[in-house]
Amino acid sequence: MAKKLTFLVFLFIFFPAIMYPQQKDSISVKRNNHYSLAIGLGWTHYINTLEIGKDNATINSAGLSLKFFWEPEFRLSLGLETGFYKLYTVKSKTNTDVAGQAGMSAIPLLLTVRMRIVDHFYLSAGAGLAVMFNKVKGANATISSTILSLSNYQFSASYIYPLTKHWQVGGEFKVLNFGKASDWLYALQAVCAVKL
Amino acid sequence: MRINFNKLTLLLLILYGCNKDTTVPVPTAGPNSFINETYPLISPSRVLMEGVYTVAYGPDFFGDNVILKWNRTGLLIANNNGKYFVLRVGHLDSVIFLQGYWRDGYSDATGLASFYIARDEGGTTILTGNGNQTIIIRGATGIQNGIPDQPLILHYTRPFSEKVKNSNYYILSHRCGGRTSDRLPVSENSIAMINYTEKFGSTGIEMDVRLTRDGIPFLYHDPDINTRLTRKGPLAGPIEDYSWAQLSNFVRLIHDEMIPTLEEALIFTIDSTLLRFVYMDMKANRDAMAKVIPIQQQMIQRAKDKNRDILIVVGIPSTDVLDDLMTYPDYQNIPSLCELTIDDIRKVNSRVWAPRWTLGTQNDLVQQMHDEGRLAVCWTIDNPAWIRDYVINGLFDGLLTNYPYVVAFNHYTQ
Repeated sequence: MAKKLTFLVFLFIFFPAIMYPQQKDSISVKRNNHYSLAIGLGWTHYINTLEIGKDNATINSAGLSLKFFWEPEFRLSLGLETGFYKLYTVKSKTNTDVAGQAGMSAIPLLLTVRMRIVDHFYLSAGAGLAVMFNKVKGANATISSTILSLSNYQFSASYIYPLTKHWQVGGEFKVLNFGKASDWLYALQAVCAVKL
Repeated sequence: MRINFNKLTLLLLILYGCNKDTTVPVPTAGPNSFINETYPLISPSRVLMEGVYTVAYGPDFFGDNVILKWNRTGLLIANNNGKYFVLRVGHLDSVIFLQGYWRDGYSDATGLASFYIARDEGGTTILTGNGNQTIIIRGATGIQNGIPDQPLILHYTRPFSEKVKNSNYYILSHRCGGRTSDRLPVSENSIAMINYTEKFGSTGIEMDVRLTRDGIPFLYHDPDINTRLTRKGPLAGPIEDYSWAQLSNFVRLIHDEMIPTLEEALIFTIDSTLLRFVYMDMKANRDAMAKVIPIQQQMIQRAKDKNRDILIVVGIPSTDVLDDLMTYPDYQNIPSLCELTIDDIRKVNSRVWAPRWTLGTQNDLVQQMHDEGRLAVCWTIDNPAWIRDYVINGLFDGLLTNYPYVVAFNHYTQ
């Protein structure tokens, strides 16, 4: 009985206390908490760790990144990052007609934490999954394989300059690791972001 | 926000620690080793050396007894818990020298080994065949490439028993002789491994057979191309999706060997080794018998032409493969090894029954197989205690293992 009474008293006291702050204030306040969407496009360079076909690999390519961030009033932001990165293309030196060429690309999906170090300058780190695509052309066929890479991460440094209240532009340098076969690449991208 | 550098360092260490080395380097005495100056032993001398030896003095981990057994390329010394020596042997005057390395098959421990048999401690007897067969092997072992400085002395106890000498027991090694994951100096399912495995005491091998997209049977264990078994290259995904030309262009095994075709592997086994048993484990996803059986037939004929006593059998690990075999004309006359039920074995008239070791020694069923003129081998048994139990108490004609030197010790000490 005493327990029930105590519970009811707590309910009466705390229920309004919990609900009250969730009511809209009649006074308009500046919102420090917002979301942002960023797109990056630029050059990627695969750190050539291939042991087979190393000398015949094309390792420079274009890469695309997409980021969605929740930016609270703190220095830290939390977000999701994806993109498309071409890692390499290797052409067969010995018998192009038969074996053709083989290439690897990847779409990562990373949970990313970003921190504002000084005004407009950010460092970020992310980890998550990646889907990797292997495509081999030759011998009158194209063979495509999809591989799930479970352990992947990225580190990046970016400079983002606000143009307007909503629009921002900048640049980003990033290093990505795809764990399935320990592939590394770095990317230099121009970034355009919008605050939502 | 404060970054905890200790935790960050620990995280990086863990990440780095996940990168596993693929091999334990084989210690070598170098090209100027004195063993190159010695003369090889003739066959009767080799036989005189073989037998069971007592460890009279040495590190505890070498145990109490070892066996000494010659193979095609040299000498194997093995004990009951996975320590073994791979040695080259030669003589100068009447002293016999043994030099090579030791390795613990169940760990990464390894080192150089160097021994001799003095002329009055067995050297003269071994070389001339005269005198008492009292052999004392003296020497030392080291750690990795360090100079051998830990004394080890072996005393000859007895020759192998007549039962062992007269038996046709098969010491079958997995994946052409050993697994890449055991960090051996050559890759699994390679010609190099077939060439190497007799050093471990193997008398037969199991090989994993797959089929390329254009129908070439080749050797590879896993369903996909990965950096566990291959050097890093531009191909990934299911290995059987690729043509032979693509695999031979873009894929190398972890120690840089080419993936062998089944035909290449069998030709090497017949022509260049003394192995007596080949178990072709059918890992192919698609109907493969029509491609594999003609090669098997050719190789059996090749072995006959070369007067080689070798059993080459296609494995039947599943009912799918069994059904595939039964579509082949005259399938009951195709030498096969069946891992399924006794009824299935009789249905396709398999020469060999191969039950999983976890089913027990099954001596009554093994005896039935013997009564029907079939062999029985057990797969894949790796624990030293179980190996000992199956060798001593089982009626099997052989064991398939990743640790052939342990099977060798237990077989030859019977």
